[in-house]
Amino acid sequence: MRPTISGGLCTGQHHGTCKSTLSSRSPETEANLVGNLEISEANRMKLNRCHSAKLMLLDLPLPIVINILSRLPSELVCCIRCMSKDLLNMVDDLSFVALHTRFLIATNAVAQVPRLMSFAALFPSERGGVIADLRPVKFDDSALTTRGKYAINVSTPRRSDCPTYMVDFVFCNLICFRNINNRGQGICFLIDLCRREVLRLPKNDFTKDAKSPLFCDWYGMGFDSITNTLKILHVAKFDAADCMVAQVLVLGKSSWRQISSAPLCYLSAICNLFSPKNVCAYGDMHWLRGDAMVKESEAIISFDFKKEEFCWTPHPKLRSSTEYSRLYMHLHLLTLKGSLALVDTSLSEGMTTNIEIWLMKDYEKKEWTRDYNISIEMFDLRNEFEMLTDVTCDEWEHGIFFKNFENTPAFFLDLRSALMNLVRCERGIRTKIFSYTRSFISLKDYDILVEAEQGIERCKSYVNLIEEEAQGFSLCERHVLRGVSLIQEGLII
Amino acid sequence: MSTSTDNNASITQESGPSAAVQDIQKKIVVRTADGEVFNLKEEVAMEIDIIKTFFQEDSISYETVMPLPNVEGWEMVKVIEYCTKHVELKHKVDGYKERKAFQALFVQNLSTKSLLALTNTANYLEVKYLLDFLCQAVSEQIKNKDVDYVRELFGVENDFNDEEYEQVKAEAPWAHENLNNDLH
Repeated sequence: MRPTISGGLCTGQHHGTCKSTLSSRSPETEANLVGNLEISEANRMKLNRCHSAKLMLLDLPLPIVINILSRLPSELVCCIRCMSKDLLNMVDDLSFVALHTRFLIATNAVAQVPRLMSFAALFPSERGGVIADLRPVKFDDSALTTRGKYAINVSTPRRSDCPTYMVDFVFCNLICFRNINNRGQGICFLIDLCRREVLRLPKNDFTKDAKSPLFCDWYGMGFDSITNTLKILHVAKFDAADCMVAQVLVLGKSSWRQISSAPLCYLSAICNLFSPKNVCAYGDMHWLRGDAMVKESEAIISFDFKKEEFCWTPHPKLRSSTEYSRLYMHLHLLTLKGSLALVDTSLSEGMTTNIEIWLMKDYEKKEWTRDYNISIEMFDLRNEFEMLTDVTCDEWEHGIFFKNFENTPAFFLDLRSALMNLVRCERGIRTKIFSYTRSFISLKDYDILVEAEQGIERCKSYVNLIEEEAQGFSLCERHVLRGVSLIQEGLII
Repeated sequence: MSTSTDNNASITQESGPSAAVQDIQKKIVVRTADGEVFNLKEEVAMEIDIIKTFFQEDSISYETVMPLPNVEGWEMVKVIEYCTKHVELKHKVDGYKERKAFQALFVQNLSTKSLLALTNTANYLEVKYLLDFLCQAVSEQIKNKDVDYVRELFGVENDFNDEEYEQVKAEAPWAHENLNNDLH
């Protein structure tokens, strides 16, 4: 529905070509030809006395307004839609949502502020109890507290034989929450905690024809901008050597489809079970390979959801010369301000932690730029964490943070002011903190949702969507570490 | 040809590849709404689809001055500036940083209103990459401002009553969590 153009000056510029007939240039006009440079000076003066002072955003043609609005963060768009009925209609239109989602997922144009969520794996008592807890949290410089009213937890009626739950990946506002049990085949959910929607992915019977037992499997998610569909990827590794099978599901459909492409490496390392090193960026999925690197250029493996193929993404020329298997612990893939990012802590020496952050802002060219070079004295990340396995490095509103799954401290780096806040979480053991963003993707548009408190007999566990009072599940001390110097190179958007 | 046009030739071709080739390159002339006339290098002019279509589709001779009644002189200057840089960077391999630096400077002194006017012009002239860049620039400016500024920029009256407003807000409660400003 076309909004009415309100107020202001309607310049009524038409979208079209100008084809009026003209008389040929007369001799007089030649005398009027002035060099471009002269005009430039005159016009530069004019710029300050802007002529169209009354031009309002809504005076522009509708496609342009939509082009601009679809690059704004979801929260701002939601505010804008409350401004007037015309704007409400504009934003609620499906084509707008599709365009906004495309900008958010497939480009770094929107660069939304990330939100934080915590995932805790808990040990229940003999008689059962909660084994996994997922809830949004927020960090406001001095404390990490629960945010909002809702949390998801999984409880089991008895401790023995209960599955292990974990978060496999995060795609905008969707969290892949799955379980793995001894028999291999597990259940996978997509959770949108903000809208309180839970979708269970259709069963995948990939083990049926397998000649050997399942060793491990991975999930991924991406956007196919050609067909405008969201797709889920599943990769299974069987015990038999060289046997990896990949399948794709179009979100909303009920069956998986096997594809011919399969990765040539492990998509995670065993020591990083709860913190797989993966990221969804630019509509594709990327992993740091979890096994030894054979060729120098093959560290980041990506899945292109348009071509449905695995491919290698070049990694930046890292300054460290450690061999890959030891380098792996120091590398992290994440998104920073919408761009694909690689964090490298391998250059740390002794009591100084050195962190380099590389960004790939141009996905077409696949070029990396080293945007941050941070040096923190009197701080040894490896020592603080006791070990660097199962460390999550992700983005928060003003920078990046590190958290080890098995330890309590979390380190929040504020890239604006070269501050590092050390947050010690009380109930932080076996907790992972990760980031997600809001988006207009709504699970109910794709499939029937899981109802709250629905029992899932097979795995003997129950997924509950519960309302809880906001709890300060972890409070902390705040330290400003001295001697943090931050050297910013390159252009930061 | 008067000497003034010869001077024009050397001034406009400052950033071009080689001076010798310059004199042979064809020029396209346009006139903007405020009567100002611009000489464009052919390769830059062809970046502007509306000009390209005008001259190529109807095989109109380059002698003709194309009128652009919806474009102001200052806007034409900016468009030419951007297109010229774009053409220059097309031939460069590693132009990312340079492009970003140029883009930052390009929008530096433009007010949001000027940006909007320029966006409108880029749309009319049909220069897709400039339009996309300007839309992104406008969105960057809006992103960092508060809600009142955005409201003023939109210049729109709120036609919801209290009840309707609450209802609309409730449809996406997660968006309004931390908002202190009431839009009503």
